[in-house]
Amino acid sequence: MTLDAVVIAGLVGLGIVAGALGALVGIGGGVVLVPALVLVFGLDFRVAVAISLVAVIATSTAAGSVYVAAGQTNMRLGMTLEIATTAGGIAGGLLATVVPTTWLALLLAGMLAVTTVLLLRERGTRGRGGAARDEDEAAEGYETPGRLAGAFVDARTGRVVTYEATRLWLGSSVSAVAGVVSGLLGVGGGFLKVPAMHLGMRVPVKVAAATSNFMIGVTALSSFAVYLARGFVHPYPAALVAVGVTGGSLVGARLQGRASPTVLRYVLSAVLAVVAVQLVLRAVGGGLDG
Amino acid sequence: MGDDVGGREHAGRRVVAGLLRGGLAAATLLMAMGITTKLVSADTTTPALELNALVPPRTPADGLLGAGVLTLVATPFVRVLVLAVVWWRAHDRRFVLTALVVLVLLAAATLLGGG
Repeated sequence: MTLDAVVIAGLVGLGIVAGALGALVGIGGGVVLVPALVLVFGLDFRVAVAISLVAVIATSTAAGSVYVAAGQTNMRLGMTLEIATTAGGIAGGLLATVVPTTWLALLLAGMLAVTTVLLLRERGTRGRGGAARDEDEAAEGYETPGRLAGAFVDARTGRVVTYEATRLWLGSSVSAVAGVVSGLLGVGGGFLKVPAMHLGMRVPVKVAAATSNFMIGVTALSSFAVYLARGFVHPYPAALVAVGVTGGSLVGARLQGRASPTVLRYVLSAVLAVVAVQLVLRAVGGGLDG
Repeated sequence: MGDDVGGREHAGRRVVAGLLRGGLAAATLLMAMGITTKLVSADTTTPALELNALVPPRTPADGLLGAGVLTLVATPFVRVLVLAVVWWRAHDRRFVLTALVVLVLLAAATLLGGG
């Protein structure tokens, strides 16, 4: 890749779009970034994944500071699940170096299809795990020392909501799978972890989303270390995308309430469906070998 | 929760939130400086990041960019380390051990990746 004005503007712009979408509809940037970097910028699949992992870390760090300060994140729960998700992330990173690019692209296309369905089925105005999700409803919370438990004040009702995580084995198992997927495809994996924590471990969805966001930075780091050691990290496009994602998250947070999430979800679903088909066609046609 | 415990928990959250904000700000600043330095130079190549090529860096822009990306990715690692200290001071041994296991796994990722 040669840096010129078009490429620089394109990479920053792509980051802004991915960051803003993350904030507005609650999808991680990876599902947008990796296909765009491969199909539009012609980058190697693994280089694109490494760039996406840097963007995931930027998103997690930016949003994490807000959620942690508000007490919405259960850091003890996050750290406990990070054992499984980090192990999964390492496995995913190592697997990505031996699995053929065509298979990885097909796997990503499958994930895009799943994301499309989830977006179309989403009710309400927000998605899951977005960078700026629920800041308007942020309320002081706390966690219980020595346990996977805590409480927060529901800003809408004013009630104190207490919780204690159950079925740690389930959350850990799903987190390990999310780690593998993250390492293989450069996504955060919140679409797996948030439902596992909320539905499987009985953690309130607000805490689950904040805790998932907190975790994805470490998950992405575990895979990133593998990609770095194997020479797949290209800092210039990574930095341009990361700066764009950070700015895009802020733009998305400001646009919340003005843009229609329903319209955005439909538009994004259509785009992801088209991208999934493109990926399949390129993968089957041998255009992604490398 | 008692006032002491509540105060310690609140202080711990503030430290972690500040660390994340500071890490992101420092990384963004370094990356922006690196990109700017790159733009004013005639060099348009985008080499892969190699740790052993960072000291000394090939060009000032490479050094700033590499430092920015590494600062960004080091932030979650330092966050785990800081939480281990916060929980150690709170005598929350179970979670100190949990954080240490995560740190060992992250160190293993680097070793396994290079293998």
